[in-house]
Amino acid sequence: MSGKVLQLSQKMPAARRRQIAPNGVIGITVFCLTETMFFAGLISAHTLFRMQTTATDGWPPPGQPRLPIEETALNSAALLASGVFLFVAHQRYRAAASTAMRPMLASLFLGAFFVIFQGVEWVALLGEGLTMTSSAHGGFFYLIVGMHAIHAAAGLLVLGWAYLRLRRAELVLSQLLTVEIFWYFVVLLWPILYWRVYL
Amino acid sequence: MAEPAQESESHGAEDHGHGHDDHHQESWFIHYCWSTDHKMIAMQYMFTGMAMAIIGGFMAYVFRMQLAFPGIEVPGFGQVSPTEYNSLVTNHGAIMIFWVAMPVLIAAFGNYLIPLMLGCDDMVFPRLNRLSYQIFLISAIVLLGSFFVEGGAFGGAWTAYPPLSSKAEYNMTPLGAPLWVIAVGLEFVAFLLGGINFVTTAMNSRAPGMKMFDIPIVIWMIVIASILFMASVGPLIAGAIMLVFDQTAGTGFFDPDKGGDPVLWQHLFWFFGHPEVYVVLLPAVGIVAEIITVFSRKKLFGYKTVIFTALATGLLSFFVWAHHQFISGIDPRMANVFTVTTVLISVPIAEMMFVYIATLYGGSIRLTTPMLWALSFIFAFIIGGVTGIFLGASGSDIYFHDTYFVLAHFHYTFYPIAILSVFAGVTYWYPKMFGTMLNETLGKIHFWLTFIPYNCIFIPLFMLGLGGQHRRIWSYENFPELARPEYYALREFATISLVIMLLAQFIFIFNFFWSLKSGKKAGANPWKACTLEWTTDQTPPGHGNWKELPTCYRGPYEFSVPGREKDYWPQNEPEPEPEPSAS
Amino acid sequence: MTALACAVCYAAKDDASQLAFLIMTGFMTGLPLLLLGAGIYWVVRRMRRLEEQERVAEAPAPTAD
Repeated sequence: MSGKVLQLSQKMPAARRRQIAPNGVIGITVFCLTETMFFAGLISAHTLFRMQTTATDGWPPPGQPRLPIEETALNSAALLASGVFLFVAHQRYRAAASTAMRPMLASLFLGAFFVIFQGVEWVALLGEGLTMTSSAHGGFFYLIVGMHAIHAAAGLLVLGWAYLRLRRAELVLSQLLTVEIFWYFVVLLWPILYWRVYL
Repeated sequence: MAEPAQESESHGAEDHGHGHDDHHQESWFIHYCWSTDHKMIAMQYMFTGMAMAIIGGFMAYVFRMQLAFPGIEVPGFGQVSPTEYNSLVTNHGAIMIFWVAMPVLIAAFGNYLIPLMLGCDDMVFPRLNRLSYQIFLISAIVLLGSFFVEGGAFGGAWTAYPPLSSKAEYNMTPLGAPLWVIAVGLEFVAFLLGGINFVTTAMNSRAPGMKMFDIPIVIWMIVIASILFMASVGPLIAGAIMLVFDQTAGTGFFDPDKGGDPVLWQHLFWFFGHPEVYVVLLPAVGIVAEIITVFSRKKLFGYKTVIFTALATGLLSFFVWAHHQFISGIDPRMANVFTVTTVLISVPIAEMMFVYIATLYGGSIRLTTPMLWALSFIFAFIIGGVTGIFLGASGSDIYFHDTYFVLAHFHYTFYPIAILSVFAGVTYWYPKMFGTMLNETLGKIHFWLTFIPYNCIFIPLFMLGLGGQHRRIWSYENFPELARPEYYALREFATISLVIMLLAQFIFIFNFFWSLKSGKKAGANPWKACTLEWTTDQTPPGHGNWKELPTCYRGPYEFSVPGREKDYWPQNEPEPEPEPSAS
Repeated sequence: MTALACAVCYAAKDDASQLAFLIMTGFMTGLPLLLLGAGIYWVVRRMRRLEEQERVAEAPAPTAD
C-alpha cells in the first residue's frame, strides 16, 4: 500500500508525464490557500474591531455575555485529538490499511463531538442574549465560529466518505492524503480562531 | 467541498481516455449543456461571456446617451431615471469585469488552451469543470434577474461601499443589493473551482518531455493569474458574507452605530480588487505574447523574463491595494508606503512591454487581424499604464480621485484587456476552434472601426476628468461649471464614437457566423505556429484531442532557427539527427 | 465633532484604530507572500527531486560511479 504515489508513475510509458503530486493533493492545497486567506480576512476584520473596542470600551465589550472559554478549551482539545488520531490513522494506513479503521473512526467521532458541542454552546449563548444582531461582537463571533463549523462539518463528510471507502478497502493513499490535508487545515485553524475570538 | 477527493484518482490523460475512438451517442443536451469536455466548457464560457458583453455594451450605450444628451429618450431604452442610471453604471462595471473579462480570458481561453497546449486530453477534474460553468451560469442569471425584482438592480457602484450598499434606506434596492452580492459571490466560487483545475492540470498533465520552461507563456500567465485570484479572493468572500448579513440580517459589521467600520469593507474589497486587475491582465499579455511571436517569426525575446516579471507583478499586487483609498481616511503613513509600491509595480509591467517590443524588433512582421489586435493592445495598455502613475501618487490622486481621468485610465487598461486581447485571441484561435478561417478583410474593417472610435471615446474623457468632471453623476445640468457647452461637445463626441464602435461589432458577429459556414478551410496549422494545440489530428480537435498524445521536445517559440528549412519548429517534432544518449 | 458615517472622521477617531489598521495591513500583505513563497519553494524543490529521480532511473547503471 505504501507505494500508491509511486504507482501513478509506474503506469506511465517511458517518456513520462511528470506529476508533482497526486491531483487531489494539489487541488486541495490550492483550495486551502483560498480558505486560509478567507479566514485571514475574517480574523483581520475581527482584530480591527477588537483593537478599537479594547481602546474605547475594554474587552470583552460591556453588556455582552462572557464567552465560554473553559468549555471551549475542552472542546478544542477534542478537535486537536481528532487531528492526532487522523495522523495515527495515516501512519497505520501506510503499514497496513485495515488497521487504520479504528483511529479514523475515533477521529470522526471526536470531530463530530466538536461540532455538536459547539452547537450546544451556541444555544446557551443565544439564551444569554448574544445574537448576530446584538452587537458587532456577537456578529463576528457567530460569523467566524459558524464559518469554521461549516468547514468542520464538510470535513466530517469527506472523512466519513474516506472511512467508508477504507472499510470497503477502496481507499487509495492520494485520496486519504486529500482528505487529511483538508481536515488538518480545519483542525490547525481552530486554535488561532480560539485565541483571537475567545481569549 | 468533497469534490476534489472524488476526482483525485482520474489523473487527467490516462484514465479518462479509454474509448475515445468509439463515438458514443450523446443527446443534444448532454453534448452541449452537460459536457465535461474542456473544449465544450470553454465554448460555453466564451459564448456566455460574449452575450454578457453585449448586455454590458448596451448599458454603456444607454448611460453615455444620457450623459451626452441629458433627458433624451434613448432609442431602445427610453428615458433614464437617476436610479436606472446608477444601476446601469454599477452593473456595466460588474458585468464587464466579472462576467466578461474573467470568463472569456481565464475560463474560456484557459479551458480551451491548457489541455491543448500541454498535450493532454482533458482537465484533471472534468466534472469540477462542468460544475464551475454551471455555477457561473447561475451567477449570471441571478445578476440579470436582479433587474426585474422590486426596486430594481443594485446601484451603489461596482465597488459596493457601505453604508450605501449595506442599508436599503440609502440604496433603495432592498432586493437588488443582496442579489448583486450573491451573484458576485457565486461567480467567485465558479472561478475558484476553475482555478483549482487550471493549476492542477498545468502541474500534472504536461506532455512527456515538457519542462516547466517549455510551457507556452499564455498557460503560465493563466496559471499565475489563477493562483493570484485564489490567494486574493478569500478576504472579499469574507467581506461579501458580512455585507449580505448587514443587508439582510441586520448585523452591523460595516455600521459605525453598531461598532462596525465602513473602511473595513474598502480594505477587504480592494485587497481582492487590485490583484483582480492583474488576474485579468496576465492572461491578456499571455495571449499577446503568443500572437506577436508567431507573426514576427522570431523567438520571444526573454521568455524567462516574461515569466519572472509576471511572478513579480503577482507578488507586488498584494501590497498596492490601498491606493484606491487615498481619500478614504487611511493613515497617511500607509498612503506613503502604498504610493511607493504602486509606482514600483509599473516596473515589471513596463519590462514585459519592452520584451514585446524587442520581440517585434527585426522580426518579419505579418499584419494579420490577430496581430493588429495584439499591437493595439500594447499601444492602448501603455497609455493606460502611464496615466496610472499620476493616480498612483497619493498627492495627485487627491485631485484626480473619482474624476473621469480615473475612468479613462482604467478603460485604457481594462478595454485592452477585456476587448482588444480577447479579439486578438478569438481571431487567432478561431481556425483551431471552428476549423475555418475568419474573413481577413472584414476582420480588418472591424479592427479599425473598433480601435479608432475606442480612442475617440476615452481621450475626451481624460480631458473632461482633468476639467474636474466627477464620476457617477446622472446629469451635469445642476453643475454650471460642468454644464458648459465645451464640455458637452466632448461628451457628445465620446458618445457618438461609442455608438459607432458598438455598431462595428455587428461586423464581427456577422464575420464570426458567416465564416463558420463559408470560411476557407483552415487546416491544422494555418499560422505556422510551434505550440502543441496546432498539432491535433483533426481541426477542430475531436473528443480526446489526439489519437496518440504528443511528446514535447523543445520550447514553444522556435521560430527562424538557423539551418532549418522551415522557419518554425513544432514542439512535438523529434530531433532530426540521432539523439545523443542521456550521458 | 465627528460624523459617524464619514470614513475620514471615523478612522481618525483614535490612535488604536489607526494602529489596528496598520498592523492588519501588514498582516494581510505578509500572509499571501508567505503562503505563495512557501508554495513556490515546495514546487521548485519537488521538481528538482523528480528530475533527479528521473536522471537516476534513466542513466545506464555503469555510469553511476
